[in-house]
Amino acid sequence: MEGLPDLSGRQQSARRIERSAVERVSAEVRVVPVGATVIMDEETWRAREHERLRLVAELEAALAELASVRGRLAERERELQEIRRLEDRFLSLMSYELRTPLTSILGYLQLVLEGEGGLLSGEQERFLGIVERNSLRLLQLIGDLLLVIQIESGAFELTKGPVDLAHSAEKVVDRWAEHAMERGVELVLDATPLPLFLGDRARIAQVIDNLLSNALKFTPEGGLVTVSVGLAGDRAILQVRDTGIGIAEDELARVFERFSPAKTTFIESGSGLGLAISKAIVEAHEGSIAVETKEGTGTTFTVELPFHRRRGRDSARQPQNMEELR
Amino acid sequence: MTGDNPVVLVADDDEDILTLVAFRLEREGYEILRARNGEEALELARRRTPSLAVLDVTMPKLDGLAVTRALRASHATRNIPIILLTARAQEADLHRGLGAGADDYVRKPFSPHDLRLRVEAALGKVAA
Repeated sequence: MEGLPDLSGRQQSARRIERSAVERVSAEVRVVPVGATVIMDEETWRAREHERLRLVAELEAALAELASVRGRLAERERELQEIRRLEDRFLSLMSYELRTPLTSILGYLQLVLEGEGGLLSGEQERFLGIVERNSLRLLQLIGDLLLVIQIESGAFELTKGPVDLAHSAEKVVDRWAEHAMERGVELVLDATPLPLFLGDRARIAQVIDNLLSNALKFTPEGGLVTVSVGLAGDRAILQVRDTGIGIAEDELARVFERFSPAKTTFIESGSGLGLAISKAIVEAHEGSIAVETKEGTGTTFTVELPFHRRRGRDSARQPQNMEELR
Repeated sequence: MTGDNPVVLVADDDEDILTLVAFRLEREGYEILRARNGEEALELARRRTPSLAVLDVTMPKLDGLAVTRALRASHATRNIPIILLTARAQEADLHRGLGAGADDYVRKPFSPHDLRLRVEAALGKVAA
């Protein structure tokens, strides 16, 4: 587990120290006459005997100390196991205990909205629509938090298959088209068909969705949001460009951090985890994500995804803006 | 609700969700057997041999995976299609379900449309 001491390493070095102490003392002790055929005056013998007893006492003290360190390490290990158990419990609590009541909330709400409980007035339908939208938002938040925990604990895994980036972008843009129109923001898709690459289609769509929803959120009426998909060498490039309010320079460095103070102003609603999650997803695909912005002029997020996985790619890769941002 | 309608066993320890799933499937014309824990589900499945079982994964007594394995282990119930209902969203949980012998799974919260399609697909597999 990251950030925690490597216990097995410590125990090994403890054993090494113990072994060398035993060897050292037994070497010293061997000098002491046992068969008494060695001629030695009493004073020398007493001095040797004194030294021998001192070494034995030192060894005993060292062994006692080692036993106590071992005990503490074992205790620490138990604590770590308990932390892991609690983490798992928390994951399960997140996904199970929270989703279960939401299943009923959304399920019965949908029944009412479908008119199962009788016809609704326009107002009733509108109010319940707001309840539904916010329940879905809560569900999204639970999913985001769960994902962050998985990413942090190393349990995040991609479900890989062929991904058509242009098609994915098109689907996400379609989903947001109506919302953009209502907000008076022009939404443009500029996609070049690309070869398929191996990736997690749902997660990639989540990245595009996060970037696009952010762009729309911060672009005022009359603005323009462009989603473009293209090719650069052996990398697929996805760009989401807006003519929105931009990001202040002091906040720029932290936009990919979860719950960063910048989030409170940059992302006023939503979980505030979208960009952190997007970054983790892109990096799990061995890609990179970068942001360029000019306050008052707009923001561009650029995602690069490699087509082929090759060993050693990471070390050979040019430094990305992202690295400088971290 | 008798006679020729396919019989679907629905098991969930959450009464509200059990009622919801049963309501949705009844609307589709299925006859519903309700179970509130794994033991009840297994007992009903053995006694009535439903056309399909929709099982919640996390149930007291026997969980959905244990029920799945028990159904698969017995000759009389081996061929009942099984859809697992799960609020656990992790891939590993889903794979465990399929590994236990389930045919499909539906995540909670579920969309009624998704539930309907998967139920039809699972039943169609038997007919074919």
